[in-house]
Amino acid sequence: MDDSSTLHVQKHVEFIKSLDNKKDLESLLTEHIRMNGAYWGLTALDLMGSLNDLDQDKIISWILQCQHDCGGFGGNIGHDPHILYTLSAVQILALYDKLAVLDSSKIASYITGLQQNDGSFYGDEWGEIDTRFSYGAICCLALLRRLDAINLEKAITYIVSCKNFDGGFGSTPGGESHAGQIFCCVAALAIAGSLHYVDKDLLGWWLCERQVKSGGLNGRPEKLPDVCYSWWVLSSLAILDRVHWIDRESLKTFILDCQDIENGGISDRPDDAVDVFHTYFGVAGLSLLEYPGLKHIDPAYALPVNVVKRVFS
Amino acid sequence: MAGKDDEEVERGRLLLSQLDRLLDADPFIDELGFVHPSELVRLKSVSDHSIAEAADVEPESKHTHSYEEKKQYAGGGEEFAYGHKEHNDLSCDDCAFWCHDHKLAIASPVLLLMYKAAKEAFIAIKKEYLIYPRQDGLSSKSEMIGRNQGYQQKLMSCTRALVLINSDHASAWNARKRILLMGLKDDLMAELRLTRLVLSCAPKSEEAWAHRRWVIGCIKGYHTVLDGVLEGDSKLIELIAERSRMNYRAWRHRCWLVSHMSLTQVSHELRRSKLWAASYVADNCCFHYRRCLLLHLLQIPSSSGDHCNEGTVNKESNCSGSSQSGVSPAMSDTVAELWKEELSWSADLIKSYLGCETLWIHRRFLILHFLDHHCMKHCKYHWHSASEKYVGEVSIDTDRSSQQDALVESEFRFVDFCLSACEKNHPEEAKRQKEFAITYKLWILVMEHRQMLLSGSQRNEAFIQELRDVKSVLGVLCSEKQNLWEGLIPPLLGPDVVASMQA
Repeated sequence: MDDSSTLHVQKHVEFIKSLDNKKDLESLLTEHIRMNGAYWGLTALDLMGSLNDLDQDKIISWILQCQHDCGGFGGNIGHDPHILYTLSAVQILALYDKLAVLDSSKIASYITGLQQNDGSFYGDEWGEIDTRFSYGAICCLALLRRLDAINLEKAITYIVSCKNFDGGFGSTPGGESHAGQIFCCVAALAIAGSLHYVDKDLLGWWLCERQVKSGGLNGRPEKLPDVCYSWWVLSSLAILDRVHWIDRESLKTFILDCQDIENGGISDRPDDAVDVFHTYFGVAGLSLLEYPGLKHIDPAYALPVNVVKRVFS
Repeated sequence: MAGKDDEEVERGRLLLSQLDRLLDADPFIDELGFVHPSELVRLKSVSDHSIAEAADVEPESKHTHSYEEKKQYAGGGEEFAYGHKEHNDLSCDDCAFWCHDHKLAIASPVLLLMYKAAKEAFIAIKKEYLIYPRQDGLSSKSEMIGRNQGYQQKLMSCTRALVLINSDHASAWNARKRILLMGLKDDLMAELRLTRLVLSCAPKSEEAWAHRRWVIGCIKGYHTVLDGVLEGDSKLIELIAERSRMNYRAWRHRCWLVSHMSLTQVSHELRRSKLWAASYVADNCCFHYRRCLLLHLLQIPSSSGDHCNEGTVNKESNCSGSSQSGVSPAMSDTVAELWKEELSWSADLIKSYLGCETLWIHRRFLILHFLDHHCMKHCKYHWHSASEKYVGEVSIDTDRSSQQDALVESEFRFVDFCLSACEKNHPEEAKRQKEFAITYKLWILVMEHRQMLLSGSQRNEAFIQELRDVKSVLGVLCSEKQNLWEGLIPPLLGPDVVASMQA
């Protein structure tokens, strides 16, 4: 049997679980984004049917300790709040079907306070603006069913103002098109029911041009392919209903080639070092490609489809 | 075991205080690197050698030169009295640090110890200072201020170590912002230098770039300083971009600077970045930067003149392809001239660098705006295959649609030229060149189709024929993207044509 032709689910589950106890420099240097790390790891586990392998109560108690009085969450205990960690915290609680433990009004009021007159969002109190934060705000409030807390129309107008000549989107008006930013903008517009602002054919074309000879996807012209774009590009194509425009088989092969078959985990490119970020995006990409045995993932909320259905049922 | 842990904690604190002294002694350190210990030994032997050689040279002159360089970069807004302390005077661990000529190297193995020490100090001080600043029970006001200053200093020093080792530690950067808000302009200039130092080691750091923008936002009140900062930052990004290619965050910062620029500054930047772009033709970021500049030209109001006016400050330039323009007729010619130059230059680059995706994308952008923007309506271009050169001429009489037809026709000839180009020595590049050329032709047809939809006109026979031809060439040259062509092209042909093709 060719080892790289299948997804080594159990190895990846063990790899993600092992991250909890690491104490090296790398884990110390990523302490500040642990909330994101937890979301990546737990969502990947859920897609692979192993969410309950980790201690749910311990995780939820840790998440709640990361919340500040303002309503926002930090990336770890003692770290400043930010919209991106707030989103990850809410997503993890959605995975566990525990959104009820949150004071949604408090979080909604934190996010309301970050919206600016032009519809854009600050990431935190310090004023950096980015379409990633627009996605964070819209996705988070939608999961809390509190989209009424912001001026959604203005938020949409701002995102649309970040559209480029190639159909893509950048981080701010005039920013270069980037697959990660495109996911944020397209997914936010999808959640807000405003996909008619997206030039589906033009953007679909740009996204398909991200597929390189090896089958992998890059995030911008002339860049190397990277497993994380299997998510950013593919989820955007899925929202635009154009996944069939790319060569799905060769992409699947590329992702599977990036597995560490011995120790688990997925890397950015074949034979590189694995990490939880690429492991999640690899598994999520395969889920969008309907890889057998994986749960289906929702391309806009970046959560398993059953979780999203449960939230909105 | 506990003893060993204690020893390590102590060593971490000691190293941290040495790092502090090194950084305080030379505030103009502008490059940082984490290196293998053997590299530290090598650096030390090289610098010892050069110090021995330099012993015969007048030391003061060397020193002054480097100070002037730093001062120039900082845009003239800094008033720092440069100390004469050299790192040689400092007692520091030779196995951990090397500092020479404003460059600092730290041995990788000590990072963990220092980071732990800095983190521990950060948590302790933050608790005392940020959480309980007014509950310290001190009776005298001056005593309280003195104590607060002490805390501030400690906080600035441990957060400096944290961000140097971990540039994305947002809470550390934020703690610095809180303290800087109470401070002075000079502190802000020092903070700009710190972000530069961090970026020298971590050029893609999201948080370091964001912090830099925050600092620039704070010094916006000091206009003379700001102009220097804008130019300095533009140069800084070129330096960083040479080492860190297609660095999205660095170029995002440079595009952000454009929103603060006047027409003169924008045209200057366009000319200045040309050489860089031509040297790094595969760097899409630089070409995107040029697109920002070109679009900004279309948006600068005619009254803005040469000075950076308030109207342009705070406004990001809009690259969304809007056709609105506040450009006066006289300026319109200048702007059109710059755009025309770009189109001609783009053709030269495409012919010189075969199969470069970035160059073709740039041309897609240019042609879209030439077909779309009213500012360009007086410009007429033809590509002459004989001289293989673009020439531009101004014609006011020709009506817009026939001019567009001529432009499209000329672009198709350019595509044909590129398709027929055969490069035996570089078959791979030639193949890519053909792929990009034919997809560029498809791009023009898609743009034409959009205009037809807008104007309500019908697809004519010639358009359908061109599209069918392009589709069959794509099927040969870019067959691996067959799914894309099958999805994209049939709707452009229309249901009747597709049905007849299938029949």
